[in-house]
Amino acid sequence: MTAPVKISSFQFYNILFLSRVFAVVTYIANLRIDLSPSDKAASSVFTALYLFVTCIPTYLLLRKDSQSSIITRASCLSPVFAKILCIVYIADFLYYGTVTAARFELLISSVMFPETNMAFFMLVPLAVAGYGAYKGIEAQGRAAAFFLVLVLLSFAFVFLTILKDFDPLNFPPLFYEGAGGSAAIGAFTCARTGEVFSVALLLPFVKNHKNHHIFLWSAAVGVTVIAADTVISGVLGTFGNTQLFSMYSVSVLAEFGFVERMDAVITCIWMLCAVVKLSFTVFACSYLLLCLFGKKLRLLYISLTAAALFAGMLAVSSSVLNFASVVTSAFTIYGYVFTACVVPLAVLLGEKIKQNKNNKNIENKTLISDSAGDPQ
Amino acid sequence: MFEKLFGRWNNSKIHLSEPVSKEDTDLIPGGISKTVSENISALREMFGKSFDLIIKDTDVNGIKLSFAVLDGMYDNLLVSEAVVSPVLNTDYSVCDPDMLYEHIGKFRASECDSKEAVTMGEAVQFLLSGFLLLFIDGVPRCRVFSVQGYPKRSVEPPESEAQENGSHEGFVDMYKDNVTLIRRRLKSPYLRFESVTAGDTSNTSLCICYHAKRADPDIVNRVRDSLLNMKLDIVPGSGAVRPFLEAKGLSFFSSVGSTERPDVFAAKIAEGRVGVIVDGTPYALILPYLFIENFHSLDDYLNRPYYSLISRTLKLFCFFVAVFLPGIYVAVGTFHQEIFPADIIFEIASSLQETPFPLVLESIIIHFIYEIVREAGLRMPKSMGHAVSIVGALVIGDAAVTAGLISAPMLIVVAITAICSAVISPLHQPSSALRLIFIAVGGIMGLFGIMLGASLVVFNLCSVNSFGVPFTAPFSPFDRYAMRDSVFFAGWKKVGKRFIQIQNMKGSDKH
Amino acid sequence: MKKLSALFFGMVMILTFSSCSYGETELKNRLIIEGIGIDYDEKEDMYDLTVQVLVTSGGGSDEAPENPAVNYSVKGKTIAEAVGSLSDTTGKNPLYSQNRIIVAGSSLTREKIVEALDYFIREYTARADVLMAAAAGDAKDIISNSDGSSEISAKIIEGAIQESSVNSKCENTELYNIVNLYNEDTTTFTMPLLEVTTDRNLTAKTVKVTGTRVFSSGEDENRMSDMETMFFLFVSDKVQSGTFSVETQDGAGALDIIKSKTKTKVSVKDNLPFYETEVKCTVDLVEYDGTRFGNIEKSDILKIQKAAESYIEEGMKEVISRQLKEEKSDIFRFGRMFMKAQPELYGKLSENWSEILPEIGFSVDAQVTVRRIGQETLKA
Repeated sequence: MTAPVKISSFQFYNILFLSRVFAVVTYIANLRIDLSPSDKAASSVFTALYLFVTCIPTYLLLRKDSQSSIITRASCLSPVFAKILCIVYIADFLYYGTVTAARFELLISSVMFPETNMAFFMLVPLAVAGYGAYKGIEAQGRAAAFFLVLVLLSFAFVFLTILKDFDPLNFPPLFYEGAGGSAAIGAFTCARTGEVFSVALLLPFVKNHKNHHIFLWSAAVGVTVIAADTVISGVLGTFGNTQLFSMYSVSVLAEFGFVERMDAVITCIWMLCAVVKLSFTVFACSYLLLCLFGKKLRLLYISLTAAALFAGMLAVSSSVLNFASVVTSAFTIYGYVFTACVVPLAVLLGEKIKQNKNNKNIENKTLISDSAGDPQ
Repeated sequence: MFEKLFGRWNNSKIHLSEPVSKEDTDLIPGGISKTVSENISALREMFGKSFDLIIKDTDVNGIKLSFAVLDGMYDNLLVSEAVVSPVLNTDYSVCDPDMLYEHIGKFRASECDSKEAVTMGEAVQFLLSGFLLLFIDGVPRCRVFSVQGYPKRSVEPPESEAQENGSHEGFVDMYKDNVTLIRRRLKSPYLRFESVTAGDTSNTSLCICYHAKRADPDIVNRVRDSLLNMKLDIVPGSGAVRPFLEAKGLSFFSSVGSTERPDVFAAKIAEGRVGVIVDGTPYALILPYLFIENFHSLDDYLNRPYYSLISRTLKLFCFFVAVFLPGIYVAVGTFHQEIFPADIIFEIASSLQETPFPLVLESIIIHFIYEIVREAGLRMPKSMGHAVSIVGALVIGDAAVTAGLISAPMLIVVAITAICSAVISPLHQPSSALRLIFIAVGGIMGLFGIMLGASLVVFNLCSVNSFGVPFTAPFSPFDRYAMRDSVFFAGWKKVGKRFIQIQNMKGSDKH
Repeated sequence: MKKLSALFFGMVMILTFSSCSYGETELKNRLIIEGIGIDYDEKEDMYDLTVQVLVTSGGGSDEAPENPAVNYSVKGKTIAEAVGSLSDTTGKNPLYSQNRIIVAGSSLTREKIVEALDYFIREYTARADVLMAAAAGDAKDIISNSDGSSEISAKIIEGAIQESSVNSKCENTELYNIVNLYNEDTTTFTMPLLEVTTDRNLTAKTVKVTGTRVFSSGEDENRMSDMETMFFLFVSDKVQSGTFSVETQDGAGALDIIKSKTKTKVSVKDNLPFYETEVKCTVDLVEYDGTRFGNIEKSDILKIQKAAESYIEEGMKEVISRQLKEEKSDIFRFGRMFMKAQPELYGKLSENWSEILPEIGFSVDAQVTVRRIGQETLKA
């Protein structure tokens, strides 16, 4: 797919920011390790650090060439390598998209419509996401700007109104039972979504991109994650560990005067992040399928991706235990590290090797021509 | 000689460009015959038994002449004083038909604008536009005189865009008059009016208006091409032209604006936009058009900036209420009852207890009744207006609630929605349709469904580009300078400092 | 494509116009619960729930109904079972999101109340910020009490608790607070204590907040009076406002609390925690009978301040002493503070915390500032 439509760097990173916000608001407290509120807040600092570090390989990749997609650069090294990369990225996007859809379904079925058959309900957001993907990244970027305002307003309302219930006594001593749990949860939280490798992939759709923007984005995400976890821990305390979605529980407590019990409204606003994220995922997969097969069958690619997400969501979210086993598996971290760090570094290395070879060839040619031109 | 007409006399001498010949008139065979009787026979054959074709045969210096005109389309005084009398009283002694033809055109009937038609098709086109045809025996051409005097509406205050501080002049149905109204407001030699004809049968005149130094030539060319390539049989109004100018793809919202006010139209043209005036309708089209402009009115620019902020914010609020309030009420009442304040839930629950229908069905019924009453109020004669008001108020307002068919809170919601819907009249159609959709969605999926529906609408809005300009500008993509005239108007002192052309907004093709 | 669209919209219309909602979620099919009282019948080993529900039938009329709420009494081995029988009786699904208060009867011990609340933590319509209260007798009497007006009694109770909380006569305890405090191994949670009282004319009965119930782990009930509650709130830094009286040599005065800030420092003495509590309180003098319509003297103000300081110090010492030494209940979260300050030593002491409580040392220092003296002038 050529990239005739470009969005600004702010719009692009805004989409990625909203994707990460969805992961923050649908955090499930005690899937893997039971952390104390202090350690939970500390794990968010680890998350921010890991995110920053995993952005470095992408930054190095962008520094060399900030116009071409990683697929294009891989195809210059080897067309087979590019195809394999497409498949790997598709698998990653489908995995993260499935987990997103499953979280979405789990949240809605836990707090809003527990009696309803979610299969029908989830068709609609996936259809909306497909529509957003069909309309293109320009529509997604512009829509994300509107959604960002709503999301920030909702965060401001929740945080400002519940600060009065913030109790420092809810924080037991930091790392009372060791720092390993915090570090592990921080890693899982960081690896929960795959925005980092989206940057290298979808660069052709971004105009006026500066390389340091990726760090600005990771800083914004880090601040959000730390603020959210700190406030959740300080307000809910250990009660947060008894609730499936602690951020939702915090929204239940948010009230200001007669404006109370707005958790349904706030949750629906946060769901806009899921719509943006899913439509971005579908769009990215359709782009990768185009790179893979080369045929412009956009509607087919979008439909296939949406269908794959729907099927995956049904399989993953059939029970909380099923869901937990998927999101807490080691694949989450390995896959993230592979696509966010190993692949960009591999491409850089490949380009370096190729460049060295070319330089050697040039030198050899120069030597040969020199010796040919020697009168002796 | 000619029947006296009812109508105002129009002494305008606006020089217009030649109408583009259409296939219809091109199919009329042949050129103009030298023999007057043949030409007249051809006309009579073409118009059949139409009573309004008036043919007058006479001669000057022995040379046969024939006048042809359509009854009701000409100004009696102009015809008799400016054309017929001078022609008949020609004392030119030359008997050569060609020299007589030239003499008449240059010296005798020179008080009104005249042209020449060389084909019968052209001559018929002029005849249908109210011109007077003059055939001279021996001359294979036809002289046409601009003697239009058909009945038309005078310049009145616009009905749909009432303003507190603005001018009281609105567009009329005659597009030439509208052009005059615009010319008076933009006294610039770079203001262009290009005439095209649309409608294979109606041959309606359309006028493309733009400022040559400010408008994007690409946009002008695209508008012109769109109008020329329109496949329309008749053009009943500007609404028929609108779909051919709108952005591709389905959308509830139109990316083409319309206005009944010449002052607004002139201001938009000065921003670099392109306007289309359609003959026979007072609504002119403007493009490119932004979504936020649906909430703008001329009063915002003429009032103090703080009041403009209040006014526009109110309109935005009314739009959201008109679209979302019934759906939100249905969603909250069906799925999210915790949102109701504790002191109000008793009243609402008690009211709902007695009604037989589910909330969503009740809402749809009452909205349909409202739409019926609204349509009835729009279409029926004014003398019956009171009866409908009384029936609507009594039946819906009192009897239905007392009988327990609908609940009082629902009625309040509908009433608020109706009033808010009236505040933003340009968006009345999409808000009516979207409201019903959100009611259904809210009843099936609650607030979650409403949010998904809203995101769908937002995706749709964000994907629309009005001739290369993002429909959601200046919010997204965000344009700081253009935000001075968005939700608020920063005042003329600030806005006048830096001029922004519409095609240069952030996110547009030219940016 | 057109057939698909028609089928899709047909489905939408059927879903929209059908009267069968998903799980009967419409408001008219829900039982709007305003208040819940939980008692425990030890003989039958069953929970006895008193559920106050809004009466919505016959509504929409101009006159307010005589009885806007009705009380249902249901029993069950578990809360879920009791609630299930409520649905069977009324034919409607309960809606907890409008529930204002949960009252625990005196028959419920600490462990029993925690068992009972598990249902409300898991139920998706129940809210974590619902008020919790304890009844001096049976919760049934509290919930089903009617003062003769058409006001919903749960609303009256909620208002009484909130008013008392503002006046520092009780602590606003919400469901999630109970969970948090229970999960702290060393802390004992409390709830406002409600009692049905009769007015002077012996006609109407009203529900009043008379203090605080402490849910110690022992069998005996541990209650604090309203004044003890105020001093407890002083220690916990939860005083918002309130009124108390002090006596000096020259007369008695009434003081309105404007603001109060308590800081507790934790140190270690003899391998045991030592708490130094410092209270800074700003008050207004609202009544003083020492002047007899004369002007107040500066020395009088100083005496009043001193009297207020000693009053607060004595009260706080008394309540701390009683709760720690006699009742062995850590309602002040001293254990938590110690955990933050000395985690290692806490780890050693936490297992026998209730035994250590009587040995804990503390000191209280109160500083009171009189901000205003009403409309009387100050003598130079």
